[in-house]
Amino acid sequence: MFDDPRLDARVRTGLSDAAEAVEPAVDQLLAAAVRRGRRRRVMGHVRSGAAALIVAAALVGVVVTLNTPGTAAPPTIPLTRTALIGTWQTPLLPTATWEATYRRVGGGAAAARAFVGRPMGGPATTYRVLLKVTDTTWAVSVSPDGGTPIPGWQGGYAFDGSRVTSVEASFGCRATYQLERAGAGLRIQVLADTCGNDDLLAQRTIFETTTFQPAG
Amino acid sequence: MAGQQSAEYAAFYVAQFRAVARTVYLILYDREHAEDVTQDAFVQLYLHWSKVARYEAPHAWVRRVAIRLAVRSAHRERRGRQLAKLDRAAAAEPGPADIDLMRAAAALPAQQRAAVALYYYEDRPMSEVADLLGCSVAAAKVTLHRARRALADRLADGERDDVR
Repeated sequence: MFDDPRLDARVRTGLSDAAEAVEPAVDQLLAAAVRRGRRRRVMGHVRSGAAALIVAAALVGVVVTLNTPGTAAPPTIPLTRTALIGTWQTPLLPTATWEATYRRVGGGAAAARAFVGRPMGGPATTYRVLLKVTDTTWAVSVSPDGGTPIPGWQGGYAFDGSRVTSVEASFGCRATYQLERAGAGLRIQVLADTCGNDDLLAQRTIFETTTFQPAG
Repeated sequence: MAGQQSAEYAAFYVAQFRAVARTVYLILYDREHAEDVTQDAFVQLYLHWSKVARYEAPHAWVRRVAIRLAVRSAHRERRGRQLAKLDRAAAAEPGPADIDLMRAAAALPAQQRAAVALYYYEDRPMSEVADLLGCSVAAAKVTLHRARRALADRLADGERDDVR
């Protein structure tokens, strides 16, 4: 098949010279890759990902009313594990609303803009977060513009009546959530996240933008 | 990602990123774009690290992802734009580069560029070229054969132009 040794030699030498001039700043790129990976893990571009964090909250079981950000919290109502099982969802909210939450919880403007793009499965003009809770697992997905949900983290969880501790199956990240009923809905507050501040900002945006309602 | 996994991922990244970026460059012929695409592949690796790290050859996994992303990206980009970028880069960084060869290679279809990079630059056997391209060995041989003929024709045209 190859019968021109001169051409072969020229191609090998030429490609090698060109490629070896490529010297990426590996250390800087590594840090950026880890930041992006953490953000995406929270939001669920990965099928094996991070849903753990999100779902925890959902377990309460109820059906929900939706609260807008800043609404005063209703009195805490005891939760049961059984009541949490099911699928919960936020309404479709404008990108600007998610972005505003990201900034409110401490993220910068540029990071907020970036977060509501690819990490959320976008770009899109609206997003809905869905939480699916079973006896043993929870999973989060994000629906950009009402389209097919993009699966997120998956993991196990422990529930003590008001708090959920979730450990994501693939990476071992651990997050703790405070749960409370909000009328028929479920309000979730992110208390801790062992995967760092980027994860924490992302999770707070996902969980604390609004309450979740029962789906279907 | 747990501490030990993070350390293992970081070590793998440092060891492999440059090599993958160089191969991706030979598909895209644009350094910045090659870094971006390679980074996308390594972010995917981050997300799947707990599973991929247990594979026998995790470097093949990320390389395959990077090549797929690069070929897809190259399909989207108009070839004329790629050649213009290549010319600008060559003008900005004069060196030993064989610019005629680079132009000829950059003008190939993306899948052929990938085959050429893997066979000539990475010096891989056809079985591995096929595996990384996600096709049969026979299909990889055809792709490479066409690429090589196109390179020979274009380089011969260039030499004839020089004589004139």
